[in-house]
Amino acid sequence: MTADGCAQPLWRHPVLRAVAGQTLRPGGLDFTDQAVHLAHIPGDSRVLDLGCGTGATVEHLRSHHALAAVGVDLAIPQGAKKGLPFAQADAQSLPFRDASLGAVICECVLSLLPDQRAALHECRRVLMPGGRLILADLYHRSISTTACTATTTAHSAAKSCVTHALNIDTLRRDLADAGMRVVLLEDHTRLLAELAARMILVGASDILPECPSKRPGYLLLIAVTDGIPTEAHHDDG
Amino acid sequence: MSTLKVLSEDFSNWTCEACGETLVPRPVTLDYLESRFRVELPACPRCGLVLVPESLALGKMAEVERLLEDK
Repeated sequence: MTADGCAQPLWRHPVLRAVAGQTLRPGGLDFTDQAVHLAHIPGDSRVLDLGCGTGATVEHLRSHHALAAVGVDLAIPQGAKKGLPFAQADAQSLPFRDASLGAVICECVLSLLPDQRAALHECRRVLMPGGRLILADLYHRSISTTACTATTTAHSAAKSCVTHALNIDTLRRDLADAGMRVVLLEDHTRLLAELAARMILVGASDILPECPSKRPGYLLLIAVTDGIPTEAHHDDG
Repeated sequence: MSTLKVLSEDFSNWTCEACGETLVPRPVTLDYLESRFRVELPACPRCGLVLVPESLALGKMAEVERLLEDK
């Protein structure tokens, strides 16, 4: 047990896998499809799934979107299909050259990182000009920045995206500091509620950690690195 | 999305009053507002009538309704 009574991180709980599938996040791969479509990622782009877990998204991006997807995770991916390109690395020290990726996908991962600002700067480093950063994560819908920081610190032992939900104002500032411009920000809290509802239906609501904000939301954010107009697409030449 | 097992009780001794058939577990889709959940519930194999136990309706399903309405 951790200090606040959370037996293990939510994403490691077998029940979450049972109700959320291999992706372990609201919306699953359908939501990833939607995000990739909205981001206008050119085919054949080299795309990083940051915090790839078992690699289900990497495999999906390669098979359904013809993207040259690769995965990075702090832990060695378990149960992943052989032959998929994975690397074990820290989000703050990615094993890619500067400006070498067309997109970085980061779903339910940023909120778990100890230094989100550093991770965003690292994403910016590996993205080519006009590259896309796709973020899907939990965020606080109704809490002041001060209260958010205080309560999140108090729950730091839980290591869950629920207890570490993002603060929108901080996220916007960190993205701007890293040299990325927000081109899309959407609320998809319905997906979070549906996942929580499935947990209730299977009788596992007791493993859901308490969120400091009381009103957690789920967002989709797409940012583009400075350098080319928002709607522009990459040219192969 | 996979079918969720929502009942822990055994309903294998229940029969459909209209058909006389023993109820069997069957995937059922629950719709609420804009959300859809696929769950396993006892149903008549002949007429398709689904049993929603009172404990489920007043317990988990009511809790889900509140969650989705509050969001």
